[in-house]
Parts: sequence; structure tokens; C-alpha cells
Amino acid sequence: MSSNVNGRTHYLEIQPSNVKSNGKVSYRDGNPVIEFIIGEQNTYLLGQTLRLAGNIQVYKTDDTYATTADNINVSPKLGMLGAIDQIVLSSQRNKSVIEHIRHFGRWASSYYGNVASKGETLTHLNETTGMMANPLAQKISFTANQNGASQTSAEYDGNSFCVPLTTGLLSSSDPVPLSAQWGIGGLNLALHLTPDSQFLFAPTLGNAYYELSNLKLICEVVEPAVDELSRLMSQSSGAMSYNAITSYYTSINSTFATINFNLALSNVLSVFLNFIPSNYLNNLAYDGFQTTPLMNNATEIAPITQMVITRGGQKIGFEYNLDANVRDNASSTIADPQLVRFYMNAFNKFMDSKKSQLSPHTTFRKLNATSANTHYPEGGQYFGLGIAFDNVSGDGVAFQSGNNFGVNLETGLTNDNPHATFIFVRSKQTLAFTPNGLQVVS
Amino acid sequence: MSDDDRSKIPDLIKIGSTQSDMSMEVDSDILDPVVSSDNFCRFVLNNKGFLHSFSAISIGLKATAATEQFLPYGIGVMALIERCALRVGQTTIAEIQDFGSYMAYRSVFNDTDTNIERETYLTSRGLAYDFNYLNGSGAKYSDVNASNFYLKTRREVDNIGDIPKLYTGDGEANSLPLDELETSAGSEFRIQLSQLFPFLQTNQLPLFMIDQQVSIELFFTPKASKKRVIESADASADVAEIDFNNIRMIADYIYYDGDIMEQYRNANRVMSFNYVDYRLNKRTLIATASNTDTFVGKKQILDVGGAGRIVSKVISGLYEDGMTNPNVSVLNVFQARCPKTINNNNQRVITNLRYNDHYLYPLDRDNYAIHFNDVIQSSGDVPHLPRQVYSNEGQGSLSAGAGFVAFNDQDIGEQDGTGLSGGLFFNCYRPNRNERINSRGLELEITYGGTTNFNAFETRNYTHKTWLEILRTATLDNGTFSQDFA
Repeated sequence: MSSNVNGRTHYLEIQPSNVKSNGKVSYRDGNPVIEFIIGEQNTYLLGQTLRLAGNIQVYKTDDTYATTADNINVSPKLGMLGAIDQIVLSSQRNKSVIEHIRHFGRWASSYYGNVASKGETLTHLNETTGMMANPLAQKISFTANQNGASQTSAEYDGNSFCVPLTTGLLSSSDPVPLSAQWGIGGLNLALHLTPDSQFLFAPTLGNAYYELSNLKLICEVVEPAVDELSRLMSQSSGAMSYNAITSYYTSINSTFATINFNLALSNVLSVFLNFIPSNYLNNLAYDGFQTTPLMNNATEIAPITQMVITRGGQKIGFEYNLDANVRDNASSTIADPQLVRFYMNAFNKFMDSKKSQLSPHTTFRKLNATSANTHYPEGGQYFGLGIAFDNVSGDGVAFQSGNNFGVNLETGLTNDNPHATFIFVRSKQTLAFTPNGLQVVS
Repeated sequence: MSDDDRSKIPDLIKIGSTQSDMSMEVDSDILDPVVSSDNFCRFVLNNKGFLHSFSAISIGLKATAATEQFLPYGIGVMALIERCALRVGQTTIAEIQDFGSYMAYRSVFNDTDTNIERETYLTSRGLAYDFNYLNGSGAKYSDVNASNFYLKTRREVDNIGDIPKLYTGDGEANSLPLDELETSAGSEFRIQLSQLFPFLQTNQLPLFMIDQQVSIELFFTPKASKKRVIESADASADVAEIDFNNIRMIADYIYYDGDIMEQYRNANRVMSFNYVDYRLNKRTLIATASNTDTFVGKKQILDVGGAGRIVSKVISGLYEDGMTNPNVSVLNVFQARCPKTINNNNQRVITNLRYNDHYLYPLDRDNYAIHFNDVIQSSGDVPHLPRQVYSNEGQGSLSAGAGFVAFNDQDIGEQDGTGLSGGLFFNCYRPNRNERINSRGLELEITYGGTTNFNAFETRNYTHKTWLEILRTATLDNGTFSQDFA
């Protein structure tokens, strides 16, 4: 299916179907899920044009705006994007789930660091997501934004945002057919909001919360030309392929950490992992979107000295034990270049990667216990592991039929400090649809 | 010649369609203007080869004794040109009016690193941002906390031994570019033809097939307007003179090997190609010191033209043409203004476009991030603008003097609402229904600011400028050029 569908394009603006009468939504007030319905219609949805837009404001307590004097912030890696925890796409007609992305904020906290430059976080990402790659700048410009605090001359509250919902289906260059006859039968989009305790970093403000308002989805759809529509109406089935994101979660707490999952995916392109001490999650005392290295405590890194990736017990990706530089020089503060390269390669081909925020400032192997490990330049620490399996054909490799995905790590994790490990898999999937239902072939 | 034979001849006027193994030669001419005066000059091209789109015009100001005087930050040397036209014989192929204002829009798509690494020296455009690692108002330099951002100018290197001075913005460190960019240095800069005439980004003119005179005309910004340069204080902007001893065009002509050019000529005795040109519509909007007579908070319905045309894009902005001394603003008049904040409250801008009896958007756009997204979707590229520079949002709650853009407390600043903050607010619309505009034309509806907040703008005249990107067709018939609307 070509993205150049012949027809008339027009805009849609969709309001959420389950908000309160005042149009405001917050996790705290019992609206953890926002639902949008793009009804079944004889059009194609241009997924790459779909944006979630609205306003967001952070409060330190009931209806009181946060100010720069308050110890409260959001992740400088994400801005508003941290407020989205899960994205669920399903067919409006038969309710079949097409794609379900969990831990969206954790995914985005690695993704934007690898594909966007610091300059971009200061410019277009700053305008669309509110992101700003420095904790203090993030706080001043976003968290403590006073727009709407004074009732005199107030027009709206908080920060404007207009963000893409980066899922495989919506990022595909192929348009999504919304027809009940020759498509998926409309699209339901459910956004699960992140709890305040995860979105916010507010060690001394236990009642801090955030609120969304004026929410809407905007997108473009294409009405096929009459002759093409006639052909489509006689079409009894269809299919489209896209690169989906699948997430997994586990925790590690050992000097020899083994991660083993049955991915049940046939076209895996790449995998990356990010980590954070488990007690940092859903805890106002910490920024839960940090992508930290493994840590024994607030001042001591537990270095990864060796990494091996396996499929069904055999090495894959690289045919050797990857020994990190710190294995030979325990006092080295320099990030291991191979680990960094493989990590970046999981997002984009390393040789084609033109911009990222990974730098000596953001990957150096030193901790700063100040301010709950948030006291770092730029967007903070950008640690992660990754591997690309196929940067050539685009078909990937299969992790099915007992061929589990495994990561074996030798670490310096000697203290009892469990780490949450988020695993994100990019794989090619195919969505097949008929008037009777959908099937996702992964 | 059979169709099969024709298919073997590449479309040489389309950039990118030649084979990678096709050999070509480039011949460069240095052309002086055939006519020049204080406000005008004309270059005439030789009718040979294909005109390389990156041919350039070098231009600069005469060295003066003025200190702290620069070309405007946003558009650099483009500020010297008020209007440009490409003519073949008596036919105007492309023309852009208020070229500086148009380039204010075009220049926001430059990555900030590109500006500081390349454009500083090519065109004197310098909008590059970086974090100001100052830990709060009046505090000392921090290696972690950046309390605001500032324009990166390489002055940091000058002041590396005096970090507190740099980071408190004491003196010129944060705001002024390098010495060699001062007009006192008499530096020259370059404007590519594809910047003057955007359709040359995808087409190159087959000059050897044209029998008529091909000329490029530049109409310069009057020096008395003070729009050519910026200064730290109003001094001598009205005498900044273009150095006509050094204005010249470096014309690159491309030749292909063997018989390919002759085959191309024979195969295209009559040829047509489509391109886009820009039509400007201007309207004066007056901000007054009351809520009754001002344009602020009132819906403006602007007939911006386009009747009977195929319009692929609409670009608009509210320009600061009414300033008495535009030379003391960092962007000069080449800025499109967003409403100021009132009591820290941002003021909405509400807009929609109506054509062929239907609105482009189902509901009016009233969210700054959506406005920005519409610029991205319409232009196919991302503007590299911070939130505060685009829409005045995200100013934080720091006290005056430590505002979010370090310019706020600089000489070339924002005191009168004419600085960088909210200074590059453009709206773009992409009529996407594949329709020719009917006889009524396009109606741009826009409301700046709230209904009771007249002070969201300074009390003066503004010019609402709208460019329509219109599809045109050029025909070359046995050496004679003509053009028409598509």
C-alpha cells in the first residue's frame, strides 16, 4: 500500500470521549485513562500526522501553581511525554487490540536521547513537548510556568503541547484504512496516564500533581478518489506492515544478572534496555525517568564488566564476550565505547546517526548524590544497553519456538539494590484485516 | 526522435535526476553588476550551460567606524535586499517582495549548530542557542544548573578567563557576535541564488537553450530606514552603505559531456516545468492604547488573494514594521511578533483559513504548540526555535533582569517588546484538499491576544504579511521563455 493515496486530504480534530465537564484531566482526580475514538469511515488515517495536543500544568498542592522556589520538577528528558504511561490502539468496530505500548515514558527517555540533539531539545522539542535538556531550565520553563496563575488576563493554564504518539502503527509511512469494509473499522486510542509519583520529582511536596486540559487529537485523513474507493469497496481483506515496539519488564540484583524472555516475535530488528534503581520508580523523592547505570548506592556505580547477548542459548549480535573497559581499569570514568555504540545502534544505524545527546557529559561513569541523583549537566545520565540484529534487510531475526532472548551481564552489583530493567523490542509486524476481524502477525 | 530515445536522456533541469556516473564540468564566471545604484543592481548571466543553483552573490557593507554594529541576527546579509527578481527577457520568472521578512521565516529552519558553524560566516545569520549555566538569578556559574539559555556567539571563548562576567551577561559577552562580523570589519557575505529564488532548489536553468537575456535584479533596503543593521544604541544605522566595489556574482555554469546537451536541446525544443513562486499580501494592523480601536483581541478576516490559483502553502506573520528605531532590536524589523505575556499569562492566537466555502481546520487553532506543529507539517521541516522565542511560553517565574532569554537585559533587547522573546512567531497553512482556489480567494482569519488585553502589543502599527506559495508553469519554446499560473 502506498502512502501516496490518490484523493482529498482533510483535517480531523477529535475530542476525548471520557473527560469531565470542565475539560480537565488528572490522574489524581480519577481520570487515569483518556480515550479517543476515530470512527470508522471510508478514509485513510495518515498516522504520522496524528498528534495529541492540549495544555499541562503542575501544581504543588490543590490548585496552587508550582514556582521556581519549590523543589519540584519533571524529567528533562521528556517534558510532557512523561505523562503518558501506556498507549493502547484497538479497532473501534471489534475491539481487537492492535498495539499496546507499556512504559512509554521509559521508552521515550532513552529514545529521544539517542535520536535528538541537545539543540533540538532547546528548540522544536521544547515547543512541542516542553522538554528542555537541563533540570533547572526544565523546572523554570515548564514545571514552574506561571501561565494562568494570575486570574487577571488569564486565557488558559500551563504549557501548550502537541506531541506525536510514537507507536509502530502510527509511525508507519503506510496510511491506516479506517473503513469497516476495507480497513480496521475505526481506531480507538486509549492513553493511560502516568501516576503523579512517577511523573513528578517532588521530594518535599507529597500532594503535588499535574493536570491536563483542552485535550484533543489532530490528524489528517485521505478520502480515496471515487474510482479507487469503488475498487476498495470490493476488497475483502488487506494488510499493512510496520515496526512495532514491544516492552518487557524485569529486575536484576546480582553480580551475574541473567535476563531471559520468550519474545515470541519473528522479525526482531533491535533491542535496548534501560535501568533504574527500583525504589526510584513511582516515588516523588526521585525522578523515575532517569536512565542510570547500575548503582550499589547513591555514590557508587556497579559497573557492567561483561555483556553477552544470546538467542536460544547461542551468542548473537557479536560472537564474543564483550568485556567493558572498566574490567581492566576499575577506576576508569569513561563510558565503554562498544557498549555506547551498540546502544546507539539499536535506534539508528550508528554510521548514519547524525545527532544524539550521548556525550562524555551524559555517559561518564560517576555519580552525584546531590538532589536524588538528578544533579547532572544537560539531560542527565543516558545509560543503556542495546543491540541491533538487522540493519540491512529490515526483516530482522526470529525469537520464537523456544529461541529465547537472553542478556548475561557481569556487574559490580554487590549491594542489595534491585534495579528495574525495561526492555524494548523493535520488530516488524503485520496487521491483517477483514470485515470479520483483525489479526496481528508478529 | 523516438520515445525510447527520449527516455534515455536524463531530465537535466531537475536537480538529482542526473546519473551519478555522468561527468560534468563547472565553469565559473565572476560577474559585476551591469547597473548599480544606491538602491538597485542588476546582473546579466551568460547564456551558456546550466545555471548552478548554488551560484552566489557576494555582498557586504562598507567598513565604517561604527562600533557594535552588525547585520540583523535572524537573517544576516539578507537584510540588505528588499526585493529580488529573476527575469528572462521581459518575463518575470520569480520575484519575492519584502525579501528580508520572507527570509526571517526561511531562516528558522536552519539548525542552530548550522547557524553557528556555517551561516555565521556565509550569511552572518547567528541564531544559535545554548544553556546558560548560571545557577539562578545573580548566582554563580554552575557546572550542572542552567537557569536560562542565551545566544551562542563564540564570545564565550573570549571570556573564558572571566566566567562570572560571561554568565551574568555583564557586558557584551552574551549578546554580540564576533568582532569580524562587525560592520567596522567590512566583511563580505554570500547569498545563494536558491535562497533568492527558492524554486532553484529543485530546478536549474538551461541557459544554453534560452535566447533571451537572463538577468537578476536586486532592490536594496533603503539605508535611511535603519533596517540594514543592528546596533547596541541608535547611532549610525541610517548611513550603512553597501560596498559596491565588492558586490559581484559568482556564476557557476554546468556542462555535461559528449552529445548529451545537444540531445537534450533537441529533445526539449518545447519544454514546460512547474515551480512555485511567492505572492505577498500586506495589511496594516494598528495597536492602540485602549481596547476599543486596537486590532488586539479582535478577529481579523484578511482577504489574502489566490483566486483562481493553486496554492500549496500560506505563510503569515505580524511584522514589526512600525518601530522608530528598529536598529536597536536584535532582529531589526525582521520579526513576526507573538502577543506579550500579561501578568505572566500568555495570550492566545486563534486562527483558521477559509477557502472554497470551507474552513481548512474543522475547529479554529488556538494552541501554540499546534500552531508550531502546523508550521512543521506545512513546511516539511522543523523550525529550530525555542518555545519562548516562538510563542513567549515557558518564561518561568524569575524576576526581571534574569528572564529566560539572556537578551532581556541586554542593550539589544526586549524592553519594548521587540527582542527575541516571542519574536519569530509564524503561522503556516497547507490547503490540502487538492482544490484550485475559487474566485473569492483565501480568507485568513486570525485573532491576536485576548479581548481585553490591548497591551499584549506595543502601541504602534504592525504589518500583517502573508505569502502565498503559488504553483506556476514555465515554458521554453525554441529559446523563448514564458510563464503562467498553473
